[in-house]
Amino acid sequence: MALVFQTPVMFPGTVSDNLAVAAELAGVQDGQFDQLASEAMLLAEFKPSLLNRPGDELSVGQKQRVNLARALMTSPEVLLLDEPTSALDPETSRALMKTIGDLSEVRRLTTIVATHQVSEARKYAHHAVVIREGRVVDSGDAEEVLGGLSDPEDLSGPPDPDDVSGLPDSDEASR
Amino acid sequence: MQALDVLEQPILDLTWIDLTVAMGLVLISIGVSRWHRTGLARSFAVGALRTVLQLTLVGYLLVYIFAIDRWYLVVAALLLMLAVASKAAVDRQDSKTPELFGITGVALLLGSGLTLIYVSVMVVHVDPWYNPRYLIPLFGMILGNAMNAAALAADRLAGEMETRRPEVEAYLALGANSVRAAREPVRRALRASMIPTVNTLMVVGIVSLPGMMTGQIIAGSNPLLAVRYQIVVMFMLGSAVALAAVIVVLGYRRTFFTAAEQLRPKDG
Repeated sequence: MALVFQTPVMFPGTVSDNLAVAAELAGVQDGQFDQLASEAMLLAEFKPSLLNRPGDELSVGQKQRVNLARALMTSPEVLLLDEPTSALDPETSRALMKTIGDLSEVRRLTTIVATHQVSEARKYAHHAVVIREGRVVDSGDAEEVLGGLSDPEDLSGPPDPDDVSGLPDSDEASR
Repeated sequence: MQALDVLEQPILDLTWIDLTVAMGLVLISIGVSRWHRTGLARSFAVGALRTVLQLTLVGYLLVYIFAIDRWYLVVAALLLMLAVASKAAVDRQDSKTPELFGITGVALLLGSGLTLIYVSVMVVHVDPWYNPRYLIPLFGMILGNAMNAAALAADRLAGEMETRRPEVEAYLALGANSVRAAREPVRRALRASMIPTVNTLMVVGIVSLPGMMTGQIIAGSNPLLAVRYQIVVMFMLGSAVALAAVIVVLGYRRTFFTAAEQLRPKDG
């Protein structure tokens, strides 16, 4: 299982160094690194020309793609993404979600995404689990479960006069 | 040898009246502190008083230990020094847990103890093995440096584990164990704790004349012998610092992770 965090984390060094760390931890042989790295970059839709760029010079969206590619280097059976687009602007966010959506088609990879965006979940998920205040309140076919919900107020639960954060609970959509 | 005749002269005695005159120097530091309102005048006065009291007490204690000349008294004195140094090193940390005190104690015991045994047995050939005239000053120097290194190492490791928390988590998420995940914080903590010693090795004798060497020279030793002792001291400080720092860092690293190799929450 591989994990992608809400906020991308870069290891010191270049993009290539970042992928090499994952390869080392996954026990990838030296000879296989180049092929695996270019495959991961392709899946994460990350430009190979940026391979030798220092990680901290990338935009947040690019960093998140490197994090995705790094997770894919470990050849996971399940990919868990914790609000992968919440640090991104809407356009970058849509593009990344499309990449993630394509992943399970191309790679037949079980992907679990935690998100507050119902529309996002509805667009990509096969199966959805709605969590409200720490409890599973609904689960099943994504279209049925998410059909009646809208973005994102419907997930915030009953209004609480003391709660000024306005943060809805997350729902999970898996594909 | 005309030049070495100076060594035959007796040491000039320092009387209590002379020390009172030396107190004038403290007045200068207090004066500067008051002049610019640094808020340190009182501390200078208290510090000066503590210096007089602590050193006088140590002087009498050393006279007593030298006179009784028993191995167990020497060992007790060394262990007392060790306990005080461990406490002082932990007191400088933000997290003063009993666990960290234990780790620091073990680090100082092994780092300083092994270095002292090496130097006293294999280099200086101290005879009898517990001769307090050698062991206590040597251990004092070793311990002082090891204590600083241990404190620096623990402080830096805690800081690095805090600022690099996301990075450490990311390593763990990729399947790394705690040793691999904390490699960079460990490296940085060790560097920070050993750099002062490396710098001292670089400039000793050029920028500064070390206290032990100057002391021996004033006490009438041949400067060449004093220099040889100082070389031994510099080498032993390097070893004590490296050992104490690495033991503290490796022991302390463990406390940031659970048995299942998870990063502990910040407050736990």
